[in-house]
Amino acid sequence: MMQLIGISPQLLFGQLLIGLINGVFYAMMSLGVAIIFGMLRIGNFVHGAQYMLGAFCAWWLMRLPELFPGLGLPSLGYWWALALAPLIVAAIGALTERVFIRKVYDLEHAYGLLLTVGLAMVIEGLFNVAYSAAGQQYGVPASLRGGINLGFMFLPLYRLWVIVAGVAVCLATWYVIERTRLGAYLRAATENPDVVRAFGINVPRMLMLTYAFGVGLAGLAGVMAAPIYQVSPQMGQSIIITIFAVVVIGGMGSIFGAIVTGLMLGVIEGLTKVFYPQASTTVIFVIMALVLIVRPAGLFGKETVAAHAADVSSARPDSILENGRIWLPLLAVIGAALPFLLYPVFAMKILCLALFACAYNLVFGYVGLLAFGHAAFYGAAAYVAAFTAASWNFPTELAILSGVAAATILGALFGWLAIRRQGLYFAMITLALAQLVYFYAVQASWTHGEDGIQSVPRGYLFGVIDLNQPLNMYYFVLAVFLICFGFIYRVIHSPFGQTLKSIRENEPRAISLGYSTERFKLIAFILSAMLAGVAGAMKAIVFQIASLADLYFMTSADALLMTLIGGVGSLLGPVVGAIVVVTMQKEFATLGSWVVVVQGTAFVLCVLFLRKGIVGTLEGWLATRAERKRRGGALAPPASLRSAH
Amino acid sequence: MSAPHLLRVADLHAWYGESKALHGLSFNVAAGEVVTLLGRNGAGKTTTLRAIMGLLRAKTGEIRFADQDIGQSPPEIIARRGVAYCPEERAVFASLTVEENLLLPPVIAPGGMTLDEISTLFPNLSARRASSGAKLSGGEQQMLAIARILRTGAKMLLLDEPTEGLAPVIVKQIGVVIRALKERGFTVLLVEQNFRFASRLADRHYVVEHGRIIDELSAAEVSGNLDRIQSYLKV
Repeated sequence: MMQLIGISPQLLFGQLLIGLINGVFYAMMSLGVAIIFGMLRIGNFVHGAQYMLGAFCAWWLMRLPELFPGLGLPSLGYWWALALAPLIVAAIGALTERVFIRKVYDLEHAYGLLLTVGLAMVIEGLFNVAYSAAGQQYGVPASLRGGINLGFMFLPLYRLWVIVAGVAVCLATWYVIERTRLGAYLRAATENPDVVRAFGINVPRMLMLTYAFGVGLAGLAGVMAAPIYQVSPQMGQSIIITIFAVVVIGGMGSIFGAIVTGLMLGVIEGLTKVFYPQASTTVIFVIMALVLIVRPAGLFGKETVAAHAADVSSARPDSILENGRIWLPLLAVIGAALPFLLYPVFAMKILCLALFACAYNLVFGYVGLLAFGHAAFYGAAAYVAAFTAASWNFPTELAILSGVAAATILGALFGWLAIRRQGLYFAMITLALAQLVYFYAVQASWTHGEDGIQSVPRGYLFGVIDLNQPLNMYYFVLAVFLICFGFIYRVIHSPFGQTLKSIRENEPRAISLGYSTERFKLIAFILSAMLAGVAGAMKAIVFQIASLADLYFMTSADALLMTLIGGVGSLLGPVVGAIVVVTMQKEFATLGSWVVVVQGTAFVLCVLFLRKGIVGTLEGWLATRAERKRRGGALAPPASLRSAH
Repeated sequence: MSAPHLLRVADLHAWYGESKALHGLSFNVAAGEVVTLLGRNGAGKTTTLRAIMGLLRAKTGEIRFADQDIGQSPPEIIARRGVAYCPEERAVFASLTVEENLLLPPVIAPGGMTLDEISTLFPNLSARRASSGAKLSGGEQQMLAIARILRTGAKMLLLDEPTEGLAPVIVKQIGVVIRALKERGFTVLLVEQNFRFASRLADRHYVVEHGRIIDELSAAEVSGNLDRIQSYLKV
């Protein structure tokens, strides 16, 4: 494949230049993400949207006369945009920090990621509504048109400018953080914000400005990118996942590492386009996987401290709502009656997604691992089941089993790689690995790209039961769901499940008791992937299609949203969450592009106001009521004091 | 108690989440005094310092410093009023050099110690200026943690168990430092479990138990009441 002969120097240097340009943007953005992560402990998923915002700001500034025809405003060109747009984006960032992000500093890291995922969905969704998918052109400024002929290639001036300016901005940022007094405050606040506050430094304001600065860098990158790429609502959507991968490869604790890694990966990506174009979209994720095997802390990262798993469970184990012996038969009865009340197809969608959410809850709720790539298992199972059923004429049950096997193998592989890191890193890694699967499916031939695998035959169950009959199909799905639900209940109430919960609550203590916690986490992760695979394979058979949407990160976000709305770590939470989310998607389906905005809003509201989820809140309410009946008085501190900071 | 109180704490209650740590604690510190809070582990001494410094927000009661209410102020405001805090864990920043650590706290008022004065008081620190904060020994970390809050012009120092886990020779050195600080006019609120150390420095002692002040002794009363004090502190 690596055919050196036949590659013209023009192509080689051209791609190298494009790679270097991409690398500059990667560096600028991963620098912002790394600073925000380092100082605020927030995995800023909204960074891509903020980059897009920077580009749109530049475009708006240019079109001021058309936007506000009555005001007689001038059209502000590139250089104005370069100065103003980052400031505007930074100001929006400061406001975002003030209104939203500040609220989650004291919570588990998971909530920061969820919140920014929600914000990204809202912002990108709104732009999608306003500007649809079409890209807007933004011209190269007059003073930077033309280029230099280097003999072996033509170097456009604008691209030279982007490289020089981008690298200069990165180095200046590095200098400020590592070599100045302001940087010393930032580094100290990263280690111990309380003590820095006790020195008289307004750390909350400093964090706000740090966030604004990181976001402003993204805005600046957006302006610089506008003349090169098209200005479109989608421009930030996939770059953020690449940026997360870059941050994982570079490693935490090194600002310089983020810059070098960004540039390097851009160049590697460019070279891949020359020598093996098929891999150019995935090469960064492959490198991430390799780096994780060799140096889990990242290329420039310092040794990681063993972080604890995130205990985000909202369940009260003694609650009646946690008793599977009551709820399994109850769900069976409700499930049996459901097709007479709802469309079977709608009911089956709820069941498939409820199973998917239950599978996700197993790792997120019960082990406290913030996985963010379950779309890979769901989607891979859907594709394999669809393919084996449609192309190889596998009987239905065998097709489903093949899908589940594929998801399980993938789960073992991803888990083996990702379990080396914890907390937000775990989320970034699983997200990046899932994106790898997504890009594979975009390019592979057997997945049929954008079309997906369609007209999957439902077939006959055990050769006799015709699954094309909606009710037959429905009861088969219900049976599978109930078996899996019962299986999950058994698992979490087994000694194995108890160990998982002890890891969630205090991993170092579990280790000191002699448990090999990594193995437990890995097994739970594989089980979760397997069950997500069951959901995905069932979905492919029920809806007779496997498509790229199943593998897209939004599907992972759906799993998270359902679990969160319902109640993380509770038995019934994912089921309730699935009902809410599927109903919401159906009700808002007529709104078209607004669905994403609504869903993003749900994310944000849940993180801010409903962290215990519906079931968790209900369990809490039931417990307080029972407590009040038993005792009478309240011993807790005044409610006004209980809220921290 | 004729001298005006620099710090006045009255009926202080504080919570960690649902559990209550301070149950109506009251005491005063006059300007220029060295006062200790004695007590067993978990009595609420560190909590009291964190509450005064504003690091613990869930609290009721009155905290006045230099005749101003600081009960609900955030830490950065309290620091700028002239209170400085040296935490038990010392919190020397590992990602900063010794010099950066020393220069980190901003000067909030004139009258702080100069760098020369500080290096006379802590001769070992100047030799280690360029090394990383992570590479210091426990004693050096404690010295640095005290040294860095002396430049700022703060009037009152809150020192949380500065002798904990240190060799006797270092403890002695810290005693010298605290005496020098008193002479220079600093007001010190010292949390200690090491009564022998505290008794040689402080003007007055408060005994803390279960989040309350259960006794108060002046320096003169100490020698006649050793048994009583021992009974408060023995485990």
